[in-house]
Amino acid sequence: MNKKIVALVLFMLAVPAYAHHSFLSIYDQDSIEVIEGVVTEVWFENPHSRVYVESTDSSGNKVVWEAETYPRNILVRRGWNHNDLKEGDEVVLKGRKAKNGTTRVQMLTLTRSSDGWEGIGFEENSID
Amino acid sequence: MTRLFIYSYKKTRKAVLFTLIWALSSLLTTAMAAQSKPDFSGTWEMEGWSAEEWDVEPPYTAAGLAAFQEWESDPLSDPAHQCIFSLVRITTAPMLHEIIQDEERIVMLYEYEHQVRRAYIDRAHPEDPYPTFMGYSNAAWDGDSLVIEAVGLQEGYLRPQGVPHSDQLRVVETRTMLADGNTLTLETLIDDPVYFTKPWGVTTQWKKSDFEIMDYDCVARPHIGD
Repeated sequence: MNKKIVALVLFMLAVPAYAHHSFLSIYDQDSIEVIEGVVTEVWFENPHSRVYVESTDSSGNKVVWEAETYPRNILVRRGWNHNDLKEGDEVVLKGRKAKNGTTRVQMLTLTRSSDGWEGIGFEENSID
Repeated sequence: MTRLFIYSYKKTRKAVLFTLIWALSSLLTTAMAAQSKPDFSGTWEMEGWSAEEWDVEPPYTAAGLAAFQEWESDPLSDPAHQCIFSLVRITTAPMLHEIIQDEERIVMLYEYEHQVRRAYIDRAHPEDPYPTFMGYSNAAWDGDSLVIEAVGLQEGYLRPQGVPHSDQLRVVETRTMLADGNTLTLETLIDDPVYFTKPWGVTTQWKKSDFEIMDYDCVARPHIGD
């Protein structure tokens, strides 16, 4: 019984800590990028979904960002359906930048400018 | 000692009767104990995990580190990109799984990659199993905890971040139901003397889910390999 209580306490302490030091991650936990742009592709797939967003950088060049989020099954369970986000939608994307310097992020939040619809990313304290 | 067993006929009959009653009652007790084991049947959804064990640098041996560096030089070589996942990737992912339990076996139906796994209770592992991605599992009760041990696993990865394991991996999973009867902890022990200097692992917590398991079409997705 004591073991169970210890396990439960461990969970309460440990789960919030996870998001801050995810090991061997390909994303930099401390480097957050905010991107405003237009959705060019939506990959609503298992084992991971992706959204591609084209934005214009400070030099006026078009840049396509790849944002990774949960598998489709998890998105559907949390209320994101396959027709909710479409090519051409204007969005604000916030994500953790890839450590290798590519234009790739782990999606934290995604908001559509026209109506405030929100996608589902790896918000703080989320698992995996 | 011998003299103690010299009984008259009547006494022997009494002893036989007593032995019979004792045997029957102990059988009944065993049967009742088996029935009173926790029932893990149902669909389970991950609630969280204890990062203390999982969220640190793996205790690699030199061989383990070399295998990790090989992955790092070419992450696309991970068979996950072809929708092939090894056991621990499946069991520690935050996807649903369903358990069907009876007195002889535990059947685990994973949403992740449609994997099906059977663990027979109190059955020995095959002596020299041909290694596969899901391996061979058996199960045993340790008090009210259900312990499932898997061996016969071919080389693969434990995590999406390329943590490799060798074919000497032994995975011991201990499920314990919490007092509410709707939540369980699952301790996953990773014992791989070739790639890790010591056993390590992760504890995940799961709750009974109202969701139904969905199709999982990794192989059929438009961007397989990307």
